[in-house]
Amino acid sequence: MGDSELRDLVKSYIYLNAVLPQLEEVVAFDKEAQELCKGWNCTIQMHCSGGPGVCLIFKDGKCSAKLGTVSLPTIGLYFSSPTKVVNMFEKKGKVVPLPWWGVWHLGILGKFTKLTDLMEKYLKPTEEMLKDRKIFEFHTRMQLMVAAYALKAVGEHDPKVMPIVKKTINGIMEMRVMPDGPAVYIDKQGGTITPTKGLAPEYMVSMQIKGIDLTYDMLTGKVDFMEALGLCKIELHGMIGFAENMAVVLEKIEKYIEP
Amino acid sequence: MAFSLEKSFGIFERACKVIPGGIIGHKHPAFTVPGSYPYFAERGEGSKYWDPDGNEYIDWMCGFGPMILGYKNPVVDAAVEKVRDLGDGMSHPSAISVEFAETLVKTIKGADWCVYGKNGADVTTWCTRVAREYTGRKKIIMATGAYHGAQAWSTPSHGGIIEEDRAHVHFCEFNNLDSVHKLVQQYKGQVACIILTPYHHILYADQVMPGPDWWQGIQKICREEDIVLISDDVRAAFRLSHAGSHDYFGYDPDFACFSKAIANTYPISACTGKDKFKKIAGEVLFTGTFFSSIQPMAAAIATINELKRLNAVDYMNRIGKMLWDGLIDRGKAYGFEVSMSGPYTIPFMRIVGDKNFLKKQLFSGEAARQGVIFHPHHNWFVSCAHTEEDVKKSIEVADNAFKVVKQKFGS
Repeated sequence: MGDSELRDLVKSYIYLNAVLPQLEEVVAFDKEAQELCKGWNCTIQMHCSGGPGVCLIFKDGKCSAKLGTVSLPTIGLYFSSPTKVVNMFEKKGKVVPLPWWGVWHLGILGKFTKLTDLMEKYLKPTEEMLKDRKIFEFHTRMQLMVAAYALKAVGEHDPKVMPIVKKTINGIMEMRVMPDGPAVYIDKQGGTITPTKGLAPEYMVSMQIKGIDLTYDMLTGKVDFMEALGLCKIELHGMIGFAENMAVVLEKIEKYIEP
Repeated sequence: MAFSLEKSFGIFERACKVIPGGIIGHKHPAFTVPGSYPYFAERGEGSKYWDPDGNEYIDWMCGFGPMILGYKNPVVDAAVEKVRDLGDGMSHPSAISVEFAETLVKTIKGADWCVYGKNGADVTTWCTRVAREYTGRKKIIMATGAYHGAQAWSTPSHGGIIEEDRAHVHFCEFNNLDSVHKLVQQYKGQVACIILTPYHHILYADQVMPGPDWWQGIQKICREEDIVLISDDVRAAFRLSHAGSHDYFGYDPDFACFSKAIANTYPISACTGKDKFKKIAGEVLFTGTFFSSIQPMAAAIATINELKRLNAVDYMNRIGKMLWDGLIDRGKAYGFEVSMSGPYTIPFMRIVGDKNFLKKQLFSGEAARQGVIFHPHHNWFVSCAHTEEDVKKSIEVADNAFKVVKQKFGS
């Protein structure tokens, strides 16, 4: 596999397994999104040949994401290559996934596109939108979740960081906004990383970030991580070596998603 | 005086503007307990140092090893003072460099010659190059988790490293001769050197002393396969034996690397070698603008002589054992099983069952707040400047710290 193909493969995992699953956040947060999927009882699957898959399960006005594929979703959307996934998410040319199943659910498909548009709005808000505190906090929460899920995408598929992940001690790393903000954790076992939203029942290392504003600054690269640690704005409790290794993966994520 | 880091924080904020991360490397507060552990040192004397806020600490880190006779040791500093008037950094080395080499060759068991640098990594890295030149082979074997300096081939970090930097570095398991045999067979005729520390001092884990067959086995493999044996004694030297840690453990390396305690905080490193490598060693460029500085060499000569005069290892062993026993005892009083590992003079403490080091971090943070430096993740160092009184005070502080840990976590 060439460098470019490999890069697109990892990026396709980021887009389908880290970004798209955050649709569940959008549906939980945004009234318009809730209205769009009202009454749905279906599974929309997106997957790509030789790459990732994700199922978005809509039920009772809620959305939940499940990484991977199922045998028979309500609607199945297919990309012929990871590059197609990347091009669609980065709006390079006119790429649309092929509906291989459930094409007759035209109504849902149309609204689904609107849902993803809404998600994009929250992922890439304008400066004006960010002045709204609720949107700011929601956007930051989403970024935190994307980062945790992208740890899986990159940590399991980038050949340069895979050995680092494998040799890292097994256990959980929690990322938590203090005092009562969003939290997410990853459970690393061997070369596998499993992200879960919420506080960890126990952890090998906990990264505790003082406040949502600082979290935003950290995730948008406005804060030097080591400085913030020294100034006790971000605290690491537990196995610091674990966090150091995961920081290498996080830095790699930035390199994949930078414009 | 109430513990405060107010001034230290102010300096750190200034530092962040002009130094990446505020403090570079392993002395960054992130690797300790930020907020409860000193950031900067203002002055030191004997076994103690003071931070810019005036907090006083008994230092069981000894500056990560270099302090072995005490900060501002009068004997060492007098030797430095004596040569200060001569000027330093001239265009040629001084005769003092010869005296330093003579002292080291006379002191280190099995040494026939020596070269000198500044940091441990200077000499560990150079040794591997000499080994490659001597054998005409590429491969280096080191132990997983070992630290031989922050050079591209050996750094445990990942930044700025390309695959080719470590393409010929292979990892064995310390104390597992089979793992060494396996690598040597896999790369038969390709291994230039095996570089090992005298015992395995790793982070976040018990220190591993060599098993009864380890060093004899390593030596046998090296002799049979014409592999160069390098002893990285940078961390342990002069705390196990004046003649090098290989003297203590009973092995005979081709090269032995020294730094840290060799000059009681003055910056110098050295490598001793066997006669058969002397010619080729001269052909492998080893140089640095400051390598021939006089003052660290004067400090090294004075330090080595003073360590011998004081019978330092015996003294440090006695002090280290007192600390070791006291910590186990105080931990037990609060229901903690304390594991101490490594030599008495370079101990590592762990609270059994504390897998994520949360208890140890709280323990270390509390100890620092009460004036004792017990690093949470790294081994500690004992010096000749530590007194029984220091141990007593440290054990009292440990008692308080264990109490706080128990209050938070239970036993």
